[in-house]
Amino acid sequence: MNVTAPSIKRAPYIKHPDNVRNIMADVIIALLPVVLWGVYAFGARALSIIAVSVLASVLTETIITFVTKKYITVLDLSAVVTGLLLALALPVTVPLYIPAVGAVFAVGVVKCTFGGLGGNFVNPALAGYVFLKLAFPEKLALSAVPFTDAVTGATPLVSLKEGLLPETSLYDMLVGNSAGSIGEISTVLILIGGIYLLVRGIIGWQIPIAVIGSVAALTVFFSQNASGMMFVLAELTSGGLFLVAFFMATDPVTSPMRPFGKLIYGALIGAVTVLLRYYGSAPEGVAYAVLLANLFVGVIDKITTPARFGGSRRDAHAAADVSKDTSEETEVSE
Amino acid sequence: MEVFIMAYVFRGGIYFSDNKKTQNAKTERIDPPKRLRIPMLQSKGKPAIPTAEVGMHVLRGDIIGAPANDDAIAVHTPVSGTVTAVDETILPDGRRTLFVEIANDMQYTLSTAVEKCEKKLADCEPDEIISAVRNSGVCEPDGTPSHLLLRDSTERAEYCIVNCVFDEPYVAGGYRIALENPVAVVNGLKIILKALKLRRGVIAVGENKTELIKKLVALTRKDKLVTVTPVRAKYPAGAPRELIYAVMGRELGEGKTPLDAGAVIFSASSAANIFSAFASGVPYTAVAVTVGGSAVKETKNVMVPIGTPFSDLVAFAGGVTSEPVRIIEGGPMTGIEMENLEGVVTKTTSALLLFTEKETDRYPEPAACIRCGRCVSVCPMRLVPSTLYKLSVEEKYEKAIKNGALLCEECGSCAYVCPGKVPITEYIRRIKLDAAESASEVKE
Repeated sequence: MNVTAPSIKRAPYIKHPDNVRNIMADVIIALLPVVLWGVYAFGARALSIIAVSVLASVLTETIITFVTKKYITVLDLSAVVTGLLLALALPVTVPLYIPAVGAVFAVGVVKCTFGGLGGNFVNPALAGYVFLKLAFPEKLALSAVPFTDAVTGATPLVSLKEGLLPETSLYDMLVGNSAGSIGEISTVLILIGGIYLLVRGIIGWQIPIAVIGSVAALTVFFSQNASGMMFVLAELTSGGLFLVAFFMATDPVTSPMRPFGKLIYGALIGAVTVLLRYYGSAPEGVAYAVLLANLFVGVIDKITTPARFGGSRRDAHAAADVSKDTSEETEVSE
Repeated sequence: MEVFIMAYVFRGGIYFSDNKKTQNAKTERIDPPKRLRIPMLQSKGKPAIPTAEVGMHVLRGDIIGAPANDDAIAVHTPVSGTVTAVDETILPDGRRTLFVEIANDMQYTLSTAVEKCEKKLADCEPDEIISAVRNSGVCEPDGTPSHLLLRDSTERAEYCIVNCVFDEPYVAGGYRIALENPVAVVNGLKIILKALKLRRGVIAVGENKTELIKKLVALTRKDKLVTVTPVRAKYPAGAPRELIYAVMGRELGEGKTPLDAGAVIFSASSAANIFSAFASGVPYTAVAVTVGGSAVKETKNVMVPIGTPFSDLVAFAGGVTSEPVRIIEGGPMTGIEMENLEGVVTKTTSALLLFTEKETDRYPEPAACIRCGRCVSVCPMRLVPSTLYKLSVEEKYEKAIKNGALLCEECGSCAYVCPGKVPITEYIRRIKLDAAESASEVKE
């Protein structure tokens, strides 16, 4: 991916001030309230998990780029964001080697082997999380209850899966007083961070709205429960849905480029999430849903290619190259 | 006719904030330098053949380079003086050409060859107008000789558009010409309409240029031939395809020229030049140039005689405040980078920009596409610049052409917005260069 500027006419000579580092810094700023609440609710251990995860991500990227003699890209802060997101998806009860293993897998395998920043076709943090979930299922099974030392396997999602309203009140789930992972419990703080990213123009509204909207709509359809609206709200505020919708599904590298494509992609994530939550073996499905949708990004980009200036839609489609590598096309056809 | 046609707005593009400092700088005249070096190649087509010899005395407006054929234009001298050299030089874009050096005698004696057109416009035949335009050596900012544009669009054009959009940041020379002399622009358009036997002319103005719109509307209120159309002021609204879309609502596809839509586009400054060639007979020997960039002490719009060294121009603007890291001839989005200030102002110079480290990008970091889609959202041609860039890196030029690379206007918007700092436009330019090379190979 690294290029040197060719020696022909080099215009334009001015550039928009935004760069990768600014964008990543904004994501980190947007995550700060969530991080602080996680540390406040779960104690210093949450901080050490976050620190281990971020450190492992940064070290992995530094070492790999150093060994492969590529430009050291760690200063663009994207590894920090990956480590942060991975830690936020983990429960505070995991042993400290878990975030380290997850971060090494996320950055080392998912990101760097595909050419580093921009080359990966699935979201590194989510892939790292799913890897841990498959490799160490028992370590990630339990969640802590905020402000206590209590540990429970019964997160709100578990009762929702059984068709029951969770015991935790909606208010507690909004402010972040329910059992869950470090960064997913406070819906309100995630929303504040998400709105910050929207206002700064880092993400578009399409993906979060499509994800949350389709989950809401499908839950109404699926819920046989009489408490209707409350059930939908409980479904939305529990688990990692908001964190994923605002911070992980919106990762530019692994999401479609056009607004309409983003809507399709978001709706796909929402639909798969609901299906997995109801029919899957685990109560939480949004992480798998995003990884699955990541594989369809090339196809979505292709079908949303507009007609060129003065051309027909058909021409644009016939030529439209899946802009990621061909490996992605094979992934999709499998 | 004070009718505002609702202008169409193309998708994509960039809203640059107007640089008021540049736009409010009144056009100043530079004192012609003691020595002028006038290149013979200042437009598209064949270079002029030097007619001046060393030691010869020339008067202001005399031809010093004769056109090589009917398509080419003559080069005139902006000053009177003695020819001191005829030699070879290399232009900023890499083309080799001859130049004529003139020692200015500071008398500015007008040549007897310069004649006013005594006839009234209504009595002029189109051919007479076209040959008058040709004799005055007017050319468009992109280098197309204006008489050629007139000749080729005779009988074919139904619409004449004068481009007063002025959408490129930093560059305001043309805007000042139109603002300070709107009569010349309107009359220039009328002469063009007469030459093309047309009844409809449109002056497309960037809608943020309110002062200019007011002036032009006031001038054309009772005019049945000329309409003023404000167009959305986003870059690159002044490019031919966007301009035709804005005015006519018609999208010109790949390989199509404005004439395919029945339109012909003249720049505001060439309309004004055509008027002055017609009214006073003085040939086109001075251009409006913006000297700017943070490395220049004072941003100025200057009327500069062709052949004036860039270094004189910088001196006129008060010199440099710091060592410029980039020197650019033309606008910041489309101009040509130069290594030093040894070049001279030619008929197609629109700006001379000296950038400091802070305001220009030297590609300090390796580029990486993060697929954010910003290039896709700004591309006015609705291409996928990120894909074209990747195909160009892999040298899959044929596939890139299928993806519409040849439609690219090289406006530079994609590379401007890219947060990964990928020089996308350069890579697309490579595809086009390769296509042009293989096309010329086929011809041979």
